[in-house]
Amino acid sequence: MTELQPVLSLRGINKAFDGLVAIQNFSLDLFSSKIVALVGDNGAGKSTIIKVISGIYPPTSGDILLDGEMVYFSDASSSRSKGIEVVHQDLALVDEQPVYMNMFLGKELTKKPFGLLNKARMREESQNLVDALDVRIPSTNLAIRNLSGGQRQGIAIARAVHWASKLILLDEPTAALGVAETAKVEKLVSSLRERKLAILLISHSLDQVFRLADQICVLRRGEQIGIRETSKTNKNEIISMITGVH
Amino acid sequence: MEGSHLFSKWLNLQKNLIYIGFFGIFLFFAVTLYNDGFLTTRNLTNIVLQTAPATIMAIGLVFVLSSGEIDISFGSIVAVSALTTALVLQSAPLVIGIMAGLGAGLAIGFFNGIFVAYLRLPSFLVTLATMGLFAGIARSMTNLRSIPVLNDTFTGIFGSGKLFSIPSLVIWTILAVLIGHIVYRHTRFGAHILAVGDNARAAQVSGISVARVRLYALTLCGGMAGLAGMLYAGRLQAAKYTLGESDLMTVIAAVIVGGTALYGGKGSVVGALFGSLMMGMLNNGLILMGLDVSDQMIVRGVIILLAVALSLRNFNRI
Ligand SMILES: Nc1ncnc2c1ncn2[C@@H]1O[C@H](COP(=O)(O)OP(=O)(O)OP(=O)(O)O)[C@@H](O)[C@H]1O
Ligand SMILES: [Mg+2]
Repeated sequence: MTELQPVLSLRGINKAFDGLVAIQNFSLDLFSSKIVALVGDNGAGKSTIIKVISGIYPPTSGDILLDGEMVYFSDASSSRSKGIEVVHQDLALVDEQPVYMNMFLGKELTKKPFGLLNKARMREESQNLVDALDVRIPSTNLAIRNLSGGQRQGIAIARAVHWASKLILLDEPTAALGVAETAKVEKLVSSLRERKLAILLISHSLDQVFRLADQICVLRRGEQIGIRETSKTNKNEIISMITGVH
Repeated sequence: MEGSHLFSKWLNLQKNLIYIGFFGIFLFFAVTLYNDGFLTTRNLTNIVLQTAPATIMAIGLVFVLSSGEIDISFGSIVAVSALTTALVLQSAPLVIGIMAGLGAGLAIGFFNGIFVAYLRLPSFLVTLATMGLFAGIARSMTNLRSIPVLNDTFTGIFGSGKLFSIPSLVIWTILAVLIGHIVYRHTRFGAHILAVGDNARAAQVSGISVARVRLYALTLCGGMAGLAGMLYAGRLQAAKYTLGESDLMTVIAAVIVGGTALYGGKGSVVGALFGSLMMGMLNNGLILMGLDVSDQMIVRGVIILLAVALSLRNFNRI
């Protein structure tokens, strides 16, 4: 293997909301088949980074490079079309719609000649995907409203996996889950390496971060405190980086 | 166990309430008003003809409500469109008249949509304002005068004409329901409307252009109101500022009773058709019963309240 070019590079990203600085001078490289964890206290700016990468918020300044080329995403559909998918903290599912419509939300399949929805194919592909990822739901026809928290999380992750070709951003994917469900999601996240995806994982659980991540990036009140190799650091160091207390 | 079984039964009942209510009221009138001619083909056809404009408006409203917005200005759009068509037809050929009427509806809907979608003002307040604004414009357009529609082709297509002995208003109703249903359930546009009305943030982060969806929903509703205005003008062979004035309550009730959620995310075009027919049947039956206008209003109000209560009551709500 030759030394890799990062899938995604953030260079000096700043983001302010009407004067409030949420992110300062943030730089990070994400590589294929590698998991980077982004940690920090509530309000540190983790979700904001994800929204900047995925085009939901434009950065105030700084550059985003995808495969070494400068990109600018004006909205979520432009980042999605480049193979970047997000599992949002609030999951971003549509409650009244069935699983298969959520799986294809914003990217619905149509058929010729009238461009009507191809529901049969969306159902089938959704079923294959939840089977492959071992997300256990009674039927892909079920409305999201009728699923448990863990099942919803599973659907949100499955959707991201389905569409991502380069990069998956996961914002607290196990926040609402029980022990067994968490283990299952962790296994799934870990298996994404085999799909050659680059992964950015936000988590408040340091145990989880140490189990999954190759690198850990610490954020405190919008400031990038540092990046560590998981194998060359320990929890105490990360905790003191998060809190600023030594 | 017992309770949850009953509960799911209730949900099924609630889902099909419109059809149960529709056939219940139909049977009731069929029996009690048999000797008053309720069941005659002529009377039943009349109900469908009379409800055609309301059905068209209801379909437009299904799209707007499903997207999480509301339009209460459609009655005024009806009047402005009907008057525009009538005025233009006085000196211009058929096609120009039709385009003017439809165009007026689409333009007002677009106007509403800009304020709602891009300035993010509450649609209730925007359309409350434009309801008054365009009711005023309708009044001043012709100084309250009624404008005759003398173009026979127009009154044939939009009013009294027939195709294969099917009245044109019935054809308009069928076409609108069919196309409306397909667009609502089987196109990406329909899916995006439902997504935006259900969870606008989810729609946005999935790459759906939320503002554009809202704009299109309100524009479509304006266009449907414009079509309804032309149907009124065609059937009555005249346009007046009062057209559409009294349809607000009926149409909203028809849509809600037909299973469309007031706060977006779910609904039914076919349900709206049956809701609208139910309202028309109610009007017709109460007149045949010999109730005077004030009693009709009271009974209709009570029945709508009952129907809305039954279709919206949610036993899980705090
Ligand atoms: N749209 C917005 N407008 C204004 N301020 C915002 C907006 N989004 C985020 N912020 C602010 O930016 C800061 C970072 O928020 P962010 O959601 O990124 O935190 P987080 O690290 O994800 O926190 P948590 O762990 O609680 O999810 C907070 O102070 C927040 O109030
Ligand atoms: Mg967050």
